[in-house]
Amino acid sequence: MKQKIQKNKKKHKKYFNISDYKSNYRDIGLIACILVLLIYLTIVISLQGSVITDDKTYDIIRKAETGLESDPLIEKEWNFKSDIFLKPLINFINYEKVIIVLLVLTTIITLLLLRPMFKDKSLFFFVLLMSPIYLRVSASFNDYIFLALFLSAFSYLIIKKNYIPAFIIYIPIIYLNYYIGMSIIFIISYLYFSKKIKFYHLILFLIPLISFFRFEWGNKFIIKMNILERIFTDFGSYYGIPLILATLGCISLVIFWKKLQTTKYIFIISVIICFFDLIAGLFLISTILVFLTATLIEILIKEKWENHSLKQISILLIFCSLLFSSVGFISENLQLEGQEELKESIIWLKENTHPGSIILSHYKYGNKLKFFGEKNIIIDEDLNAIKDGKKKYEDTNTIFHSRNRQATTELLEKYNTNYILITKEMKKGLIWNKESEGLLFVMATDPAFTRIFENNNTEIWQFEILENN
Amino acid sequence: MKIKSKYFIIGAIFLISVLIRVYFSADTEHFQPDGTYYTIHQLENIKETGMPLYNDDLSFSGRTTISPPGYYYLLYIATFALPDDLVFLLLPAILASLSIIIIYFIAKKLTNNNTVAYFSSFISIFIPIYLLRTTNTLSTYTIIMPLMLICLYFFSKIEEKNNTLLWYTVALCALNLISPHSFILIGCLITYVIMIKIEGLKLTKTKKEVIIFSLFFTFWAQFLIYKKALLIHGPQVIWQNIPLELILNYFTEINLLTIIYYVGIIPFFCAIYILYRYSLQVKNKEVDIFIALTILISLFLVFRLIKLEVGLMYLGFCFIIFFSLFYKKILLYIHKTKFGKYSSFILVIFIIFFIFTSIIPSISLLIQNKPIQDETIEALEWIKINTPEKSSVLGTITEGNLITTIAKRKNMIDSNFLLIEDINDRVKDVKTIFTSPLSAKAIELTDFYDIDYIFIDSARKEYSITDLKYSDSECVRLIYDKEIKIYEVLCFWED
Repeated sequence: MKQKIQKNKKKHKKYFNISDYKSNYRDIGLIACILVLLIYLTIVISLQGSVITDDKTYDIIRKAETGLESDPLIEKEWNFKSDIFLKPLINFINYEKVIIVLLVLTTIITLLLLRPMFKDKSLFFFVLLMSPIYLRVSASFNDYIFLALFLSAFSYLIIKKNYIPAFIIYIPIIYLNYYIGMSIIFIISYLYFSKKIKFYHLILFLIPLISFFRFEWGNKFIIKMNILERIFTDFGSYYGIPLILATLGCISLVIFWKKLQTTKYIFIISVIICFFDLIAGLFLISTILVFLTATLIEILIKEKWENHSLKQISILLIFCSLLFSSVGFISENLQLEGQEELKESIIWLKENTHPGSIILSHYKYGNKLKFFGEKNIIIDEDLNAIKDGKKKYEDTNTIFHSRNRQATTELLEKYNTNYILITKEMKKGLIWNKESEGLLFVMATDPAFTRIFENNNTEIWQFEILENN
Repeated sequence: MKIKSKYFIIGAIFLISVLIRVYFSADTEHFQPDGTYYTIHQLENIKETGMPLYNDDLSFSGRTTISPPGYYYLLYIATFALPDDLVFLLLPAILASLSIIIIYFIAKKLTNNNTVAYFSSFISIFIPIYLLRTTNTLSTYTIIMPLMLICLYFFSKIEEKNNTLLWYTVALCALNLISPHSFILIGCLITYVIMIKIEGLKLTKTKKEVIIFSLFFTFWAQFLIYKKALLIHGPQVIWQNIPLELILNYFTEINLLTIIYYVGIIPFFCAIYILYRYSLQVKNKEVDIFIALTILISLFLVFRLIKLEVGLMYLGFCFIIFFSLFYKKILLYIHKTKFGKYSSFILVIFIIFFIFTSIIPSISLLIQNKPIQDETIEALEWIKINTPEKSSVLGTITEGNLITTIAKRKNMIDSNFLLIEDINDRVKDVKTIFTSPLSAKAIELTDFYDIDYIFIDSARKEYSITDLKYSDSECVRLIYDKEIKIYEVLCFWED
């Protein structure tokens, strides 16, 4: 009888229990701290409109505002869909507050979702907070902030067995990302059919094998990067995963392979998605790796070590690695320095130049030039979507690096360029390292170029075709 | 009394090692090129600012540098007690000779025989490649190898005493502060775990914990140091951003004769026998850690992930350890036979063999190894006195660090390639400036890189030239004409 009671108690402990939760005040304290941090983070971001990490946000807002299918300021088709959800929201509140609302909603749903999984939820939140996926979602608008919200809500409703609302939530998921939508059907069908169809596992492993020969990894990238540079944030990927998270997550996957039932299949499917849509695949993989890493850390903390101080140092090192990895990601991508000056110079361009004029700058400033300056540009970050993107990218590279006056002016004329925007960052390694390099040398020596604006961070040069030339 | 004699013998072997290195270093005024001069450059900066050099205005005419600072600080601390010249002479010799003491302890632990341990530690002085690369130089390998051996020694006896863990941790931290070679240690530990699993042996809990700790610590420490390099070069950071033109010279193919020549013929063949025996016949956890290191280094050499000479240094020490096991086995065998009383005769035979196969090649390598020539130093001193302070001098890759350290002038290229994004272009352009028959092409490049002087010394051998082909052009003027030539660049390039 006693044994039965103990068994029931144990069973009961596996799931979330409000009394257990109340007694664990340290846990609540940690979650409160993290929530404060979370809100603080979003407020800081919302206060500084120009500190959005993903410049694609500006494009999404422009699409939502204009309602057009293609970008009027550059020849390209818009290749995102989240504007449909943003459009009704920005009628009531500004886009910065929309990010906060979505983020808080996603966080709350994720918390609800994780209640039965982790005894120490703060651990999962720490790892999540320290992962670039969270930082990306919390500091920019893209399809993934909506996907995160819908996916967490969908999973929660499925766990709660509310199938009809879950189906309603599923529609925007498949609309936003076809592959993620299809993989949900695949996972659900797996859970239902895997015992009935013997070769189900074989099908699961055959797909990536076939897709490997059929597809390249993700989209065709114009800027040459090897696969590791696209996957890991430590090698420069913006949408990728940190090495430490990948290492710990994979260790956890190997250790708990037998215990992880659905998770390992979701992980495999996420890897498969990478073959079709690298960013979507990495988005899912990051989320799973956060879960796996938190599980591993939890086990490491629980495990009894022969040497206690070695255990403490090892765990501290893991936390430090996660922390430094995200700090590195932030410092690389969340650029505060010079952003106000950049915005000021773009607004100056808007107010003091002809509306149809064409601006040349580094592609990373493209979306800002369109959003704040309403200016035509030659290239932006979305090189794959731009008409003749590869050619334009190569030509702008030639303009920036060539010291041949004739070749430079011919290319500038080819794109009807009127103004050139140069930033300190471009001069300090982004394009050039010295004042005597490429376009900087040509601009300094050719009378066709005149500096018409300058502040602490940026310069604007006007290019005019001189009759003598 | 026994303890005293033990210390006396090992002390004598240590002293021999130090004296050999000091003798060959003191014989010449200058060091081996070129890493030593980079170390001196770093040390000078620490003396001036207290910090290692992160933003070097001279190297590549201004760049950011990354290197673990531990070794430079060690030299800096030593300079408090002794004059610089004495530190440069003694410290590397003492550090490099520490490996001899550790080899003694490892051999003693594995064989439990003092004679074998003494003899092994003595012959480890004459690993030709190690002796060559750690004499008359401030190379970090003088300390990397002893630290690596210390880590492996304490790891193998981690369960024995409480303070072994402390010493292991200290050595691991030091290794991480000095070099990224700590990754080799991690690789070795992982290979060791795999070997243990394959052999069906059990890994103790303490060892498991130490491996986990070492793994996290090394990844964390190296990640902190090399974060920027990872971001710039991505996975190519493994090859240290070595230019494509040079990569074949750096990671040369393995040749059996080269291995035998640089490691020694007796340790090589003994190692093969011991590797065969302990991999397939005998299970011994203590030997497995050194087999793991041998396997790892061999794989690195095959896949060209490590420089041949560095790989051979590691193999050299592993082979000496395997030799000690072989020697012990021979002694045991002889004792079982009628020739048992002649065991000391075996030692004499080994010594004679060693004199011919290791000691003589090592000494001849040291004699052949030429340091920087007096003429080169003289020319660089001339540049320091007779050229403007902010001028830039073009030399070959091996001369880069000499230009910054001795002449105190900017260079266009040196051997510290990490973080240089356009390294392949630079290597190509250096070659073009030295070999181009057209002054226009050369001047376009000298102007682009802001080069004021061209230094012609090792370029003659490297690019098979006798002089600049455009030396009679109005754009260059010969300002130093001895065995070494220095040209001043007079023209600027315009379209």
